[in-house]
Amino acid sequence: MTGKFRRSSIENAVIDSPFEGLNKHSKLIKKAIRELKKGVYHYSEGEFEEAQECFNKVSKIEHKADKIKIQIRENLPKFIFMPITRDDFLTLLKEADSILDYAEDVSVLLPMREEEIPEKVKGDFKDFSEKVFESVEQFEEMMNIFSKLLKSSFGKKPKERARELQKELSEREHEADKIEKKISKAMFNYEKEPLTAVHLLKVVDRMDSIADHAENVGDMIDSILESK
Amino acid sequence: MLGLTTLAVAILVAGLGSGLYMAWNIGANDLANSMGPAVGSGAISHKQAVVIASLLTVTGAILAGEHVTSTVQVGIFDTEAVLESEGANILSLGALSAITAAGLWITVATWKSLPISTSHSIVGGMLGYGLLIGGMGIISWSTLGRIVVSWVTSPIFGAITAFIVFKLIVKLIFNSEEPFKTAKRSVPIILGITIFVISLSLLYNTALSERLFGEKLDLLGAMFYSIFPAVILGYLGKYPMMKGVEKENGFEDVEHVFKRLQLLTACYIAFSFGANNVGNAVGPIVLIIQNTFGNSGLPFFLRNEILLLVGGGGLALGISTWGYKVIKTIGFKLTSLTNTRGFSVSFGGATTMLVASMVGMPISTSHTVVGAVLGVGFARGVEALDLSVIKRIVISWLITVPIAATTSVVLYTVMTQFV
Repeated sequence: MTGKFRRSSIENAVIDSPFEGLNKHSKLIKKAIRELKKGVYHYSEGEFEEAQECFNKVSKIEHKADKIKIQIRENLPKFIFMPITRDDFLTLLKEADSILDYAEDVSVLLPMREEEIPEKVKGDFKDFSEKVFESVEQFEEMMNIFSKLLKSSFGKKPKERARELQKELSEREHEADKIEKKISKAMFNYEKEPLTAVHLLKVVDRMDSIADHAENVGDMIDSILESK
Repeated sequence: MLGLTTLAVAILVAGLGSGLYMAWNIGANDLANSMGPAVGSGAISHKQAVVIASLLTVTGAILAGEHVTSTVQVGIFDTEAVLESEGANILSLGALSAITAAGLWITVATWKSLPISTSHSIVGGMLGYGLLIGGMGIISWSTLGRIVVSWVTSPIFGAITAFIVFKLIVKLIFNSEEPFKTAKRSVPIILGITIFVISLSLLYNTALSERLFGEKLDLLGAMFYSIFPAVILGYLGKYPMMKGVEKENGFEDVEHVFKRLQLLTACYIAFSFGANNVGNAVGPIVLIIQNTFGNSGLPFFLRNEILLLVGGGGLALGISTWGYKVIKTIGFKLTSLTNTRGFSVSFGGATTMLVASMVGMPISTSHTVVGAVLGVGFARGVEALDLSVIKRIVISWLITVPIAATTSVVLYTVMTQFV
């Protein structure tokens, strides 16, 4: 029996699950966000060297995740039969990847200006960061639930949990948005250090995008569940 | 030898050789396909698969292989008419051409990387010869029509059964308050249903039922007697089956219960395989033997039961000499099918094959299993299926009959030049 023959048989119709790749990718997001969180914390405390070390790790992880993303896309046959549509799968991957892209943006942008966070927004920035990172933690749980949804063929319990999580994610993103607006307003009126203001404005904008895309993943999974 | 002509003996010996070659081929390729899901999901090792497949295939062949054998032997064209007009040797030569054509086509297809059906090959072979010798009028179009319909319906039936089984697992087990407990409670029911269908195949209109009850049982009678072993063995069987299965966590523990049940479906599918496929190798040989010896003077070792046993042995030989390699590859490839999915595929496939065997329809194992995998896919149980592979399988389905038929005609024409 030749290899070619085997390629045409039933065992070759059932191919390696692209969801395994998606899981690997999500785990890297988790790892990168942990490093980003540590880095932002060090930065806020004025420990720029330690922060830089963490930010470097974020870039490396992002690069690794990018490779996995390309591999998943390349190995996804044109005519594939999955529990969700090919388009939904690719959008899910894209949204998850955007979290990482923005995480990397922040890790590059933040250390470009080694300056203490202005006192008037220090507290808000801390709260804002927490909300953003909480939203990513919820994204991680959402991906775990998604894997359970697949295992149980969209079973009742994980479905209910996914719905709850989507609401929580939405809530978290909304809270982050509110604080972002507050910080932005303060920075637009921070005439003392215009460059610091611009720097921080850009950083919070990127960080807010992290929460946006985490919420998008939740919405995406929710809309998949709607159609089931 | 019993006053037989040299030609008749030559055809008989060649026929037996071809039949065994065909059985070996079927065992080596097709049987491995059906054992794939159980090995792939880690329920059984590939060595266990070879042992189970060998033993249960022979059992299925002997106990439930007679209907398909009879269809392949006399159902495709009017063998009596050929016997009267052309004589025994011509008819035997035809059967020899058909089985050799089918065997050759399977080998060529294997070499040329085409997934084909052994059942379609032998039906094509017999059809080709029938058309050549007697024209359109001699073909049993109603039987042939039923066979072709069964080829279309078997993947659909496999898909529907696997879909329903998997949906039931999701609705009743995954969605229950305590999935592990519910899964364990369902074991005797699943076991009972499996034993019921096997028992039905053993008793419905078979020689075995005639021996046991003095008459061939009809469907209702067979169903009635099948209830007893189903209930008793279903209930008692749960103890050895679930021994040592502990609660783990999440949905994994349900998978663990089904891992054990896959041992059952592995036996079920091997049994069904033997029942449905042995006839592809034995049918034409029975025809040759009957032509050679008529109704009297049949040596003991050429009786139907012995032929089914040897045919089943050929299937077992196929899987243990070559098929084990295929099982290993398939097992590795199918790892993305979890136990509940693998169980649904095997259960759907095996039930379809066994029901087809009961009504004497030679169906394609691989198409039925493809149907079952798609069925679980439709129930959103398979994470990824490459549809282009399915397309290639369907195309191979369409070309097999004409090729096997033509080869059979060519072989017959060549052989008649020498006799």
